Amino acid sequence: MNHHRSNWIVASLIVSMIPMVAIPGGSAVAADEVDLEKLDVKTLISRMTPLRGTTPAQWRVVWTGDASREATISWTTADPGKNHLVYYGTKSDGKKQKPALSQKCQSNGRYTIKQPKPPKKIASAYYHHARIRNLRPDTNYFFIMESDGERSRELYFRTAPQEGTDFNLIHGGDSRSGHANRCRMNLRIAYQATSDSRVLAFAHGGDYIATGSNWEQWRLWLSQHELTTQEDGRVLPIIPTKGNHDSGKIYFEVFDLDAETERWHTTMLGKDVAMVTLDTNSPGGGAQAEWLAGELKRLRPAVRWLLVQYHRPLYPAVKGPAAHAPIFCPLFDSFNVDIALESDGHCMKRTVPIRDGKKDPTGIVYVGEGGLGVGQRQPKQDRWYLKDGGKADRAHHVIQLDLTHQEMRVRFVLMDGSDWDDHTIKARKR
Amino acid sequence: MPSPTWKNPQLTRFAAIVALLTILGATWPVLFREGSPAGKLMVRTEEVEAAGDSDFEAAMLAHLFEESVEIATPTPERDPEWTLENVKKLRQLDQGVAVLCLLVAAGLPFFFGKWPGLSWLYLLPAMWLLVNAQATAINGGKAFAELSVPAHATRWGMMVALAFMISRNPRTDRLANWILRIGCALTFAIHGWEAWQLNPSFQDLLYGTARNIGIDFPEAVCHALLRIIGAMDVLLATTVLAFHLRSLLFWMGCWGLITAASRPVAMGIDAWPEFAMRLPNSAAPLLVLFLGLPALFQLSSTNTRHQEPANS
Repeated sequence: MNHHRSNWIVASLIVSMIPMVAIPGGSAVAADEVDLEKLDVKTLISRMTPLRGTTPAQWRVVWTGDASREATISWTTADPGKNHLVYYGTKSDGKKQKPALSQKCQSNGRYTIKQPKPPKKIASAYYHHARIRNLRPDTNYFFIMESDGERSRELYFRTAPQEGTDFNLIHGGDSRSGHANRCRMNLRIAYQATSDSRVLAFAHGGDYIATGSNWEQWRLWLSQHELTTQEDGRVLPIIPTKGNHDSGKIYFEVFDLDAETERWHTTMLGKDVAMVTLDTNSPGGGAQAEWLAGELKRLRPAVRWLLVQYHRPLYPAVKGPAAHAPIFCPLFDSFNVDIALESDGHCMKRTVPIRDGKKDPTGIVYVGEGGLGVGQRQPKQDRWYLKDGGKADRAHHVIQLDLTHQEMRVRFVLMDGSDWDDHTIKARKR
Repeated sequence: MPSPTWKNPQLTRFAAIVALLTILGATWPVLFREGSPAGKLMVRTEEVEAAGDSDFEAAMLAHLFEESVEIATPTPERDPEWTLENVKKLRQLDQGVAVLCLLVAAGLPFFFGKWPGLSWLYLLPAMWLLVNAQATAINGGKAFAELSVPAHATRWGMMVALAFMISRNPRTDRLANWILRIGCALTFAIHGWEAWQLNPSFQDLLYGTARNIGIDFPEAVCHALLRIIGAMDVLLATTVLAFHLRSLLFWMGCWGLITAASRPVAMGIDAWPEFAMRLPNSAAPLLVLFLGLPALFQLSSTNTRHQEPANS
């Protein structure tokens, strides 16, 4: 642990929270409440938007393609409504007027809801997706969602730069149980972005909820996801991964993905960074293996940082390896992937660099295993890839990837803002 | 030739060895990996309760969705150390039950010859396997998990059948015959349905096995093979209930062994518990074959004569 660094982070968090308290009418969390573990749940709930009528709620910005120029802005309404659109632009107009551009939602529909046995009944809810294109790279885009005249507050996100690696990413997985801790980790994500404006996006490693076909669980996750929004309205775009608990149609409805063609995808964060997202619920062989081989072959010579994320670990700290390991690992080795981001195990781990199933300084480091609220398990610290340079433990966490031209700093940040691990990976390209 | 258990104790010995290997395969992950499905369910329930989220969830439902939920007793968030201790105890309980089942399966073959009444102790591992199947269904997290209880019917069913077989009389043989037939039918039908639906893990088994024997085939071939396998499994499931066809029962036994072996072949030797746990998929149809008792319908070419013992 680096105590100087953690002290600095806590200090910067406290400083960064001071303006929040000053926002009139805001429901900011006071600076002295920055200890997330002790944060009152009522305070958390008061920060989420109730789902009423056509008031836009449960917003998220989704990245699955060219993050420099495209994004999908999504939200939920309680009533179906008729006219759903997003106003967006590069200038904030505050409360005076709406941003200059607009885009009607290309996709609207009712979430797939399995009704429980009467008399219990789950209210319907409706998704709306506005796919906006032709954006300017490295630019703040302010947006207001509107459904039948009901508008959200102004929010914004930043597009990825056209080139270069001057940004950070947050990765985390497994938010499937533990509401209070899930909310606290969402606030941790927001705090990380508040304290470090280089944070560009949040990659979720999957297992958002326990039962993927259960709307009652998804709606809570979606409302709680609002907490990742910063006080000034900045939304971190989410790069979604499908977990083994995210079965059913709702995952695709939440993230505006095609269930047939977008189970795996590449998010280009400019020309120099690619995040390849795989699906460990789909077969590793066949179409996914062919796609992965082609994608890695295309991307490796083109990008400086080649990142992969998927749910089930190939070098697990708790369970046995995913059946995908014999297919994915040789491809990762062949094309010199820079880091593999994993979830599912409910613990923290960083492996030694691995190539061809053995420790190798030129190999790939596998990190993660998920701690966004779910109860943590005891990892098997005696596995060869977790010893002699690797490590494992248990705590709620996110992983922050600080990218530069020469190196990638990989930090496990715990709920209280301290670091569990701080590791640097050198760029393969010189 | 039909070999009723009262004439052929080798049959019960064979079943007992398979039962032991099955329980060993099921116990291994409990002792050395993440625990049994039932253990994981207990730990998860404990952790959710420890989080004290019920009142939080109710407050969210009221604030966000205008729904009221009655909470019997709001539970405050528990001390993490206390929860950790509870989880540790649950894991120990999980391991203890697994070891007990293993001891039962390992010890009974030495005693049931002398004391057949002890055979009912096989109901303990049978119950353990059944509870784990149900826990797998509740835990979810993998395709078709909700069908685990019928999909695992040969595992828990064979233990129940074994308890009857050890009694060594025609009536209990007939019961064992039907328990095994229904178990085989359920397991093969569910696996057939999953194969027909192109279960992703089955696809990976095919890809992995093929790759390990030097074959590389495209997705279309994989899908076609699974459809064929699915149709065959459903056909076998129907047949095992309807007719006593020795050649088909023998093929079911072989096929069960092949599919069980495909786990370590595709995933490496570390997956041997997966193989051991699935041995009943092969052993159960073979036991039906060797018991030689009739199914629902009699075919003219089928020889299912079963002689009553002189002293029964």
